[in-house]
Amino acid sequence: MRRFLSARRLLAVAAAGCSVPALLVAGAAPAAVYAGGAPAASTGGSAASAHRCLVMTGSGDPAFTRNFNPYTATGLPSGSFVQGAFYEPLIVTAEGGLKPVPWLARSWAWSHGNKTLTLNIVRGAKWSDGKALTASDVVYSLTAGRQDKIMDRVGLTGAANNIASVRAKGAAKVVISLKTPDSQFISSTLNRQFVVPRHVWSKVKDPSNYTNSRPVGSGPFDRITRFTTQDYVFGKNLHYWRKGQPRIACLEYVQAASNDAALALIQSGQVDWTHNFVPNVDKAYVSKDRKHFHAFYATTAYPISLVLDTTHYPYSLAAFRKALSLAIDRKTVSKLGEYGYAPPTDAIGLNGLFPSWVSNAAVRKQAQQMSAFNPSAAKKLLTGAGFSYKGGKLVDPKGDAVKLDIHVISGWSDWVASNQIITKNLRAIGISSNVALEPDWGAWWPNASAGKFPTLLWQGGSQGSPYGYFYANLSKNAYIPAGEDASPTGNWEHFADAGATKLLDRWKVTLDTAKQKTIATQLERIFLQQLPIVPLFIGPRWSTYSTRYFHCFNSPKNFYGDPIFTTFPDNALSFTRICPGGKAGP
Amino acid sequence: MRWFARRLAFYVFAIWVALTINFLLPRLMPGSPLGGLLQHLTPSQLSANPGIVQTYEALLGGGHHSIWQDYVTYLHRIAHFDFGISTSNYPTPVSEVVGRTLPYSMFLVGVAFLLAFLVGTGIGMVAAWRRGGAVDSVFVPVFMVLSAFPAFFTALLGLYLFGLKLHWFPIQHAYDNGVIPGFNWAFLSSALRHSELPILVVVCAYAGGWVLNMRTVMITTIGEDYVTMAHAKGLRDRRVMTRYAGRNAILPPLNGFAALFASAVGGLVFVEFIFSYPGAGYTLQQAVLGNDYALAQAILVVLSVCVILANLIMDVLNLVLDPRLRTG
Repeated sequence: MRRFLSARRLLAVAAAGCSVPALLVAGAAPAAVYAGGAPAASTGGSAASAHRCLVMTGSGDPAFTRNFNPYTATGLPSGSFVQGAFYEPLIVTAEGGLKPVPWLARSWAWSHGNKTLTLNIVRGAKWSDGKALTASDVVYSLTAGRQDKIMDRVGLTGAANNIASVRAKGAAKVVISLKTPDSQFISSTLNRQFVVPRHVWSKVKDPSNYTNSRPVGSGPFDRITRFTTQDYVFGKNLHYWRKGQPRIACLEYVQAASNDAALALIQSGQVDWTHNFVPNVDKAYVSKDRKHFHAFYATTAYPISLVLDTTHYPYSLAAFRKALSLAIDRKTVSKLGEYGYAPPTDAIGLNGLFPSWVSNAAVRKQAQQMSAFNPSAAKKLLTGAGFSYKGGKLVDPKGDAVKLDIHVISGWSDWVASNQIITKNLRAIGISSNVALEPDWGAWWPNASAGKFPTLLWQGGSQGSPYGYFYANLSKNAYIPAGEDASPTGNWEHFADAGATKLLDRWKVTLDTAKQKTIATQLERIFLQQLPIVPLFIGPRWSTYSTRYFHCFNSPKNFYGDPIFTTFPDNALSFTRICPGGKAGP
Repeated sequence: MRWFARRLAFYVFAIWVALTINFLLPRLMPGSPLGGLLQHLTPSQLSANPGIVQTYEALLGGGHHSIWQDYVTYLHRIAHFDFGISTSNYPTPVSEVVGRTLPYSMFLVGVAFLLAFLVGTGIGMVAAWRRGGAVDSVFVPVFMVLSAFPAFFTALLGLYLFGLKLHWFPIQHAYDNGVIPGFNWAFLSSALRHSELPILVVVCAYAGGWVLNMRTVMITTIGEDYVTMAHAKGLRDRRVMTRYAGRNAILPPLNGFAALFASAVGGLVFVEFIFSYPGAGYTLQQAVLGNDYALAQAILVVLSVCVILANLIMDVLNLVLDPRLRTG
């Protein structure tokens, strides 16, 4: 008996090791289960009552780390919010071909043959520590790359630097001198720049490892009022220089472990705003509360294209790429692969974002013809270019069978579905084509970004005009040799055209929009002639939002930029414009 | 004592093997820490930050050492409890991330496992004692069905039924948004609320094994002479069940405790992921997805050491419970 007692004591000690909470749970858990159907309060606590803060979530975030360094935390939502909420842009050129909005720079002027840009900085703006925001902070932010390369937002330390000098003229003027005129400077280069306080950042010894846990900002939100690993809250700047803004008291960002978890949060109304892709959004989200739940999948965006390594035979033949464009059934891809949210594009791919820049009717017509689904015309084009068919298989002019496997991440369900349709289309014209699934981003990205995998890839380009789009795909200055990571310029297909390079150089120094449009038309002709990439469908900017507690969101009728809240500088517009109060309708 | 020394030597060897596998596993996966960091960037962010790839490369050290060099540094660091910097939580040290997540998992696994053990052996004992009785014909089949499901399936089922449909439990996280973790009632009660459903799921998933094991062994034990003897002495039925039959019957299932614990740790990853419960299992999943070698290694080390420790404790417990081993 004695021995038994000692064994029992051991068990008792083990139980006590888990201490009081264990006993509490032992009592509490069953009690809640057998509560007789009385529903306990659901999570969040805020679910039942109106939201004071605008609640946002992403589509699967790791537990939050208190890192608000805008230079290094770019991959974290915290690093994106701090740009726009705490640190402000100078001039906002929002996505969607909209006019520039003055921000910290209230006005600006070009002089000296369009080589000098003078910014008039807002007066009376203050940092959250009470110090005044002056031209010296702007100069510091623009030249911070000299302190540490990672703080370079405008390419000052890069090989292609075009900035000769940045000087402050008094407390409210900043003069930027360029080496050559640059029509894209405001919409592309300056658009990336946010202004940080000189008195804080100049003292940071190692900006890479600095977590900036209490950012000193000038923006609409200037304090972190709560931070845990699963949610954080930004409090409103009570002394914000834009009087009457922000209209909402606070921003709250909550963690969702996955896309599904995020969906559960928006369906239940616990989250007001998110930017994740919801398949069949009407049924899964909007139908839960038609008055208040809205989906705005903005299609004013760059296209998603099939990208081939154009140094690789026979992908190097323009006729082959043009045949692909004819062989792919864009409408079905858009409808079945992308749930109809991503409309098909023409062969230039600018009809969603910059229709006004494709001004020539003949070019427009050609772009449509080249993207019209027509497999027999594709075959004709191929045989005309020296290709032949052997037992239904396409053989290139050198006598080899043509193969084109498209690699995609297995979890990206919409792209997998799209690729399945595309490969089916390609097989129909005799190309041996399959979808190759890659396990994850890490396995896919290095080869995809270097163009080693023919793949669907996104396109980036400058705002304000399609210059960046043509630059990335046609200019010698953006050219990246085959096999190298092309993400610095976006020249995924490793292609350049001499004539287009000259035209782009001229566009760059031309500030006259009419002249720019003439150049654009010439570039579009070259683009259609070469078809360096095969634009397929528009990559929409996803946004779902609830107007139960807030309104004035980005919507088709109230469109002011990218509806995705991590996009700087467009998010500064949303953060200051969204207003409190529920409203039925968008 | 020699038996104990032999076991101890075996555990040291087991830990070394575990450490080596922990080192190799993340490196055998496709991808790199850089890819793990960049996958959180949206296309527009990537194009708006030219050179970001190079920046991150520089941040991560960019050094390419041989795998042997890395292995030696790794062992050296582990010996000094230095787990490095977590790349997915840059620049937070791994120890801080693990320290933050481990209490939640320890609480979850500790409580759930103990409950599963108590509930399971209790039911198994009673079911064997009164074969064909209410407990035997209702609870045993129910737990058998539940334990036949993988833990993640039970978790999904529980989440859907009790969380999304009936609203009895919170659907995710370890505490309510708006509560600051700390030693205060608001946090503790909220944390308790959030742990109920995951604990319930783990109990449902793992109690079945105990029930079945205990019931089987108990039935054989009931036939033993000393049980008949106890009855003959005129002891109360309950006393015979717990202290005579039960005590002897528990030995074989207890040996399976460690093995079951190991599988529970594996199930933990899924259960925590489904409930977005910020414990070690969820963090491990995130670390693996993000190719965060340092963090994945550290959590694997902690988990494997936990499992090995559980084995050790079972060995000691066996020594205490079974006098035959001590002389052997």
